[in-house]
Amino acid sequence: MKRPVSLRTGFTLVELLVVIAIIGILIALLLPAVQAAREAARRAQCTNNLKQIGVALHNYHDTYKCFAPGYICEPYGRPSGTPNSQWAWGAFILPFLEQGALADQLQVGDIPLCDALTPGGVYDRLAVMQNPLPAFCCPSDLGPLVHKGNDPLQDRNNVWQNVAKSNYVGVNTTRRWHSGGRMTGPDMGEPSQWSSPPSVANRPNGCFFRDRGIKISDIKDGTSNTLLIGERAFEINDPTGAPIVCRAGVVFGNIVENEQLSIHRSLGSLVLPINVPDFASCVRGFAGIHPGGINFVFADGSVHFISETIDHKPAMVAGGTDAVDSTLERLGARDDGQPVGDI
Amino acid sequence: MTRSSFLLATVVLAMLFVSGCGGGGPELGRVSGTVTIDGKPAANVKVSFTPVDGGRSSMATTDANGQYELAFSTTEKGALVGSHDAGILPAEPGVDVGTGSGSEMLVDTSIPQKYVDAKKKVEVKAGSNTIDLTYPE
Repeated sequence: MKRPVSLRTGFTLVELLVVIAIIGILIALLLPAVQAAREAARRAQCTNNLKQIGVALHNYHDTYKCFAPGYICEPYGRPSGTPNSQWAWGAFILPFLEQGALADQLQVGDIPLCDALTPGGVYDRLAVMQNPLPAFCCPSDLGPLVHKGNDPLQDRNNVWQNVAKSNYVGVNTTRRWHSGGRMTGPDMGEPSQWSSPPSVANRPNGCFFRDRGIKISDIKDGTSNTLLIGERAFEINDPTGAPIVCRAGVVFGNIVENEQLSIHRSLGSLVLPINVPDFASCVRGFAGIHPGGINFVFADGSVHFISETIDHKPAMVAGGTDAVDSTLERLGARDDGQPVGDI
Repeated sequence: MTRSSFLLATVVLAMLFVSGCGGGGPELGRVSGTVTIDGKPAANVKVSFTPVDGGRSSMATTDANGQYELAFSTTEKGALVGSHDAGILPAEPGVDVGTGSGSEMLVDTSIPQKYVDAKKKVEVKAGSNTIDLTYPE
């Protein structure tokens, strides 16, 4: 009954090593797939936020017969010599994003934003504006949910105050007011700190600018051919992997000190190419949170991923002009008379 | 036993190689060079190349020595292969508050307008390209 000694009772070292190696390889194969799935979920959330903002803007339109204005400057007088921080579209649509309580608390449009930002002031609302607002944040974005020192908004005493981040900015214009400008705040004929107001040739032709909410009837190219809101990352990389901070945007307001440059907190410009790994371009333009392109919500409420290789000849590249002569400019301009077919 | 283990390992490795890597995207050529304005290397100038036949522009900003290397996107260097309009622009304003206000319009004047308007036709080939931009020619 004695068992043969040669019968094996365990694994050899080589067998164990091979098993461990195979398990290692399988995990190495699986891990990127898991990460990709997690990123896909975040991306879906990001697209959904944009969709909800589109729906909120439409509900706003149902109530007030126009979309929310890009930002306001009334009734506090003209930018020059007035407080720099003014309410923007994000604050106006809060009641339509289930943030009615926050909107009531802030008294959007009833009290000046710069007073709401002033700590210790009569209208101090700073603490509530420093809570993150996930409805405006893309989970794929690595930046903070609340700005930390990257000059978001100024209070009554011109002190910079940190407030909630927004990854979504409104499409302002596809053409420049002056050659040094990148954005255009006032509409045609409206006063500004510059001597001549924008004319019919260089007024903002996107859906978001100062003091006026665009009506659907103003979108002459058709709502499915016109961009409303796009994404801007807090940080992107250049091809060497170096980080470029684009600062994303701000939910509540804008800075009106220089309405050709400073109004990027709630708006983005298509005068600049998209997804450029360069601070001065991406801080006022649109910059991808996801590789290869940018999500936009169109005026009909649909969300589309626009590839960075889309036909776009903005004014700020060699051979580009202020004319609306490329696909992305046609999409950005609401009434250029050149509706775009399938994109 | 050892032999079959090696066999298994070989099969797994072979599968890895077969799965391979994707690739593609448009054909790009690496582009670098120096921008010279009135005989001096121009620092902090924005360079852009726009394909004549349409497509995404490539951009770069010159360093302190007037040198640039084009970036096609956030992940790739270079420019689309083919003919381009190459040009320079003043560096973006960058500062947007505390710039003062008044009746003066906001106009870039750091580079003479004739140089901004001067578009050069250049050819980008596959591989590496050195394209110097000199104003005036």
